[in-house]
Amino acid sequence: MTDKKYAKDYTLPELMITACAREIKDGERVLIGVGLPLLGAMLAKRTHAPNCKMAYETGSFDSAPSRTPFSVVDPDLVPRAIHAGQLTDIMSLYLQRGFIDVGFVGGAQVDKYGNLNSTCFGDYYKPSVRFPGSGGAHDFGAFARRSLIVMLHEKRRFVEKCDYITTPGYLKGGNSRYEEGLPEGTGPQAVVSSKGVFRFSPDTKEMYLDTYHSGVTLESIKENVSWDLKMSRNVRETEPPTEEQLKIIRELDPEGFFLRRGEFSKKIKAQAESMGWL
Amino acid sequence: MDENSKVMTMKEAVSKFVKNGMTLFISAVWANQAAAAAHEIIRQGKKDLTLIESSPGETFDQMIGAGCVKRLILSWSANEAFGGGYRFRRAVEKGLIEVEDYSNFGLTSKLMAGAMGIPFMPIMSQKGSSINEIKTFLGENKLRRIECPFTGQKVTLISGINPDVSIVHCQRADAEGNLQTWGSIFSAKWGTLAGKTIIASVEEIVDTDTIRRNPELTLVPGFRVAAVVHEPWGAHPGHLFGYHDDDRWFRYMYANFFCDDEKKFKQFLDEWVYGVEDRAGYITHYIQKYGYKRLMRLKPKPFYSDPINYGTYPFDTMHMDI
Repeated sequence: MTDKKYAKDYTLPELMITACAREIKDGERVLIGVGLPLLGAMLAKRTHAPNCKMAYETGSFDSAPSRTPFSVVDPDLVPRAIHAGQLTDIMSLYLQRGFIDVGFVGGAQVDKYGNLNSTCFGDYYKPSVRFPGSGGAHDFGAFARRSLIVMLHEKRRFVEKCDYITTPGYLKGGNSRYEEGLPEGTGPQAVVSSKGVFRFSPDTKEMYLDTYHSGVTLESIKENVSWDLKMSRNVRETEPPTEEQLKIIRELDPEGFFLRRGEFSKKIKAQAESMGWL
Repeated sequence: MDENSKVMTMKEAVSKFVKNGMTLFISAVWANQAAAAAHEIIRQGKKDLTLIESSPGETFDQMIGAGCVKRLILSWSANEAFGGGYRFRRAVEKGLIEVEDYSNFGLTSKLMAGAMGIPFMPIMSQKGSSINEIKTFLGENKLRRIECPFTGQKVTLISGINPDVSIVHCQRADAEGNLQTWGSIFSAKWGTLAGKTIIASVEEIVDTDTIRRNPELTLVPGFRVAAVVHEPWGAHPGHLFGYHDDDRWFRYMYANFFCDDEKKFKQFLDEWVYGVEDRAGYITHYIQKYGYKRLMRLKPKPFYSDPINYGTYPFDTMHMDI
């Protein structure tokens, strides 16, 4: 891209979507769940990575949706796709064999080695909070060449040790992931949080801060991480969305389902209440 | 209908084949969702069920909230990007139900092993995770970890399962239960075929010739199917590929305004499950409450695939006449 024109007025979800998109290279095979990463992948495909191929655990490979899916099971992921199969096709023939380049994962907790918990807070048998569970996240994180973690940033979510490891990152750091039998060369590449973008040291595999989002101080990031967070020597601000990227993001979500969740919910609730449907 | 017909109502199918304490696979991901069956199971007050499915949405949530469920074998449960899943989550937090967690691949492999008649499925997944460490009611029968006898690699063996009954909603079947589906089907194939008894609900009942003209669409041959239920809109609010879209709005309402509040949830069940006789009653209620237009908006415009040539093959193959 020549002469980038950066947008001035953008929201945090829009910045996170852009950060997700930038992690995808052209031509890559990308396995996605739903939410901000999905918009990130769609943005990448409409800008710098037109040849990336999007796969969904439902069974669709290289789909070409005409609308933004709200679900990995969206029926619009089938028409015009290259392959409409089933879960075990995607999980074994594509993912387990090592043919997926990028997998997006999320969780309720992440630790300093990028291990993720999307199962529960507290004791598994008596959880204080139960979350939906692994879904495909474990499998994505196990086999994708690079997994990308997307997280809401709070101190109780950036923990020294996860209450439950749903999706393995670098386990105890160093080589421990591969000693456990996970495929060589796989693992988390970055964490895109609501405060910054984090990466992993090539040797120790410990997470460090790479960039902070506009308006977020380094102190507030350090305060909201439960271990002594290391920083990149050239830590800098996260690259903002360009005007073109922002325009596309907003076109992808005209109703604000992903981008303005609170407002969207209020609108639906108000209509339902006025009709006496609640 | 001929004497081989397995066509019956959902009320008959559930009362005949589903018993308290059984293990059931109910297709409950948003594709091929057997929602009508789940509601009938709630209406009939079935208890102590063990349910298995990879990533069930609101149908499991509703069965849990209605008190039908004792145990769950799954990977994930909520309502996709809509959030929700609160009947499931609260029941686990309160210790009302037990869960055995797998990954989506692990869970579907469990059904695949059962469907294929083998005791376990080796997968390279679930390593380095608490999923492989923590076991609940399945105990050591959840999975085993071994070193591959050929390569020495670490392998997870997922024990197979054959649910007492498997229930799925598909596009069409003939009266004998030759069952066809298309689209991306998540875990529905292995989940359905794993069952000892299979109940299929369908949008359309067709003649056997229609089945035979597209044999690649067959999910389950009729000899495996015990009951066929003609149940239009049987997957609602999930989609059925080619027939109707996801009802995003209805799902959003359930996930955000009904399932996290016990009173509201009860109101939902009273209205949409106990308050209607069957699926036809549910759809009639939908139309009366929200209008025909809202329902019809879920019908996709046609987009046909091209016909393919199967060929016809002559009896005489030695070509002695040439």
